[in-house]
Amino acid sequence: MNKKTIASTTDNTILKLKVLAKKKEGVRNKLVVTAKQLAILAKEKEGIRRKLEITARKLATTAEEKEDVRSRLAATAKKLAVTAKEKEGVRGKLVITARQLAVVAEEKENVRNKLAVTARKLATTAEEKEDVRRRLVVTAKNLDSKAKQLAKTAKEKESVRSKLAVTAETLRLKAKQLAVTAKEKEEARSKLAITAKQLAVTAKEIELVNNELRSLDLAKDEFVSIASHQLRTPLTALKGYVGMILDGDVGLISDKQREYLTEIKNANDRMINLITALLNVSRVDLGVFVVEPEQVNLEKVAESTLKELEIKIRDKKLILNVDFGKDIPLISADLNIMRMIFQNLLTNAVKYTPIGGNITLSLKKDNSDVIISVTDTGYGIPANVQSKIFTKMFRADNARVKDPDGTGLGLYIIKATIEKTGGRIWFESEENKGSTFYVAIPLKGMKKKEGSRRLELK
Amino acid sequence: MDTPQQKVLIIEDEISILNGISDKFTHEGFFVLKAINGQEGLDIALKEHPDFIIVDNLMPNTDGFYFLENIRKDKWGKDSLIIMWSNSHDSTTITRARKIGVFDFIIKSEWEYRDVVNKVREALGEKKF
Repeated sequence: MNKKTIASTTDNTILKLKVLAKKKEGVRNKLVVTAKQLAILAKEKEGIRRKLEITARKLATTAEEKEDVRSRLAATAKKLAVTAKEKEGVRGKLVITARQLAVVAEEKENVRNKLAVTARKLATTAEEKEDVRRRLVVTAKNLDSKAKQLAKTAKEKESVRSKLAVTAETLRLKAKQLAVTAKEKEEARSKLAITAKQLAVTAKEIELVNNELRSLDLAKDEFVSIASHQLRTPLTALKGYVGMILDGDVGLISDKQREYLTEIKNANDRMINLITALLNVSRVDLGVFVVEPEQVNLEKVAESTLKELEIKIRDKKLILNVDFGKDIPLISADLNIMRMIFQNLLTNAVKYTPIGGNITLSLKKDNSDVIISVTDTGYGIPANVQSKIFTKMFRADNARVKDPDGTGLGLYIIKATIEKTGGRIWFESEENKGSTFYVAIPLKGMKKKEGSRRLELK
Repeated sequence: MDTPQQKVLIIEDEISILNGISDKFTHEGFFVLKAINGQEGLDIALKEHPDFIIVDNLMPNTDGFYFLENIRKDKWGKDSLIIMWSNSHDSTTITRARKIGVFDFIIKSEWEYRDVVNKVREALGEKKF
């Protein structure tokens, strides 16, 4: 129920109650008056009775007086009838009043009931209000916590937002930088494109020059080949004739003649060797030599080279040690080059080791290579010229004395060849103690190399 | 007890060498036939059927390989004993010659004539057995 409605209803009831109270007060006052009058009447009745007694007594004495008294009694009866009538009127009024009071009481009861209902309703409303209030408190608390959370969330959002703002700024800067970089790249790219075009032109020019140079190299090699062949032909003739004279095919010769002819023969042989070596140097230097790998058994190459040197080894009474590892695999190598390597290292060892010395040839396999090593107990290479030993035409003084016929090209040729086919060569040496030359041939083998000429064996 | 004189054909364009090596073989008791190019050598070989042939590689017009390839086509020539000798050490040349079939390939400038003669005797001896 509406609070306002309840209030106005209550007010009206109070007003009505007040009016009723006043009316009751009026009625009560009238009743008091009536009571007083009735008391007086009663007193008067008492006096009358006494007078009547006197009268009766007098009647008993006088009839006259009786008549008189009768008339007086009649009068009194009349008055009493009037009083009775009045009394009846009052009684009726009282009944009415009583009825009115009952009605008022009923109304009061109704009002009280209504008030009780209202009060109950009010109590219920208050309870509800309390409940609502509690709920509102709870809701308020919830709202507060939510508000707090929202505040927190808002704070977090703010922090995220500010972070995002920072990130956005960073990204913007990066974008700017990238834009700049992109521009620079674009510029660089266009420059590169131009450069690439120029390079392409240059490459074409280089290729042309390269082709020219290559054909020039081939022409040079062709010339060297022909020249060396041409040079060798007369030397071969010379060798043949000197040989026949020395063999006594055309009669006996004196010892001195033999000595001189031998000098001629040796010089001739040296010239022939020199031509072969120069031809190889030309092919190595021009890079026109062929590498044709095939499966090579290094032990067999080593043995066949040793066989070629058998006579010289025997003549010098050299002690030969051979130490071949059991796990030497076939190597994909150019047989010609491998022969040249063994020939060069072993010939040098025989040449530069004094009579009765030791020569050790070994083949060992490591993780990546087969290592060929040739050790001698020979004259060795003086420390001060060790750095020059692979130089073209270089010969150490001690070697020149021991073997005047050397060309100084052998080690140069094999070093260049070994290195151009993926191998390595190095040595250890001490003068008058001996030398060890090592050659590492990769297990993966030599790479095939196109070229116009093979290197020539001695 | 005379053993029949053996015929050697020498094909060589360089006259000084041809004469030198011929003298050596003659001195050693051989009957020497000479030719100065592949075609001439082929003609003589097919006509004379020598016991042994020494042929140079590089010769003008018709070279040693011309001779080799053609002699091997002949019924007699396919089994004839031949040494190719050359001043070209090129192993491609050596391989090619061995493929066609030669008794040996020798480098002229490294061989003494007497060793060439010994090599021929060795070849002929092997043929006998």
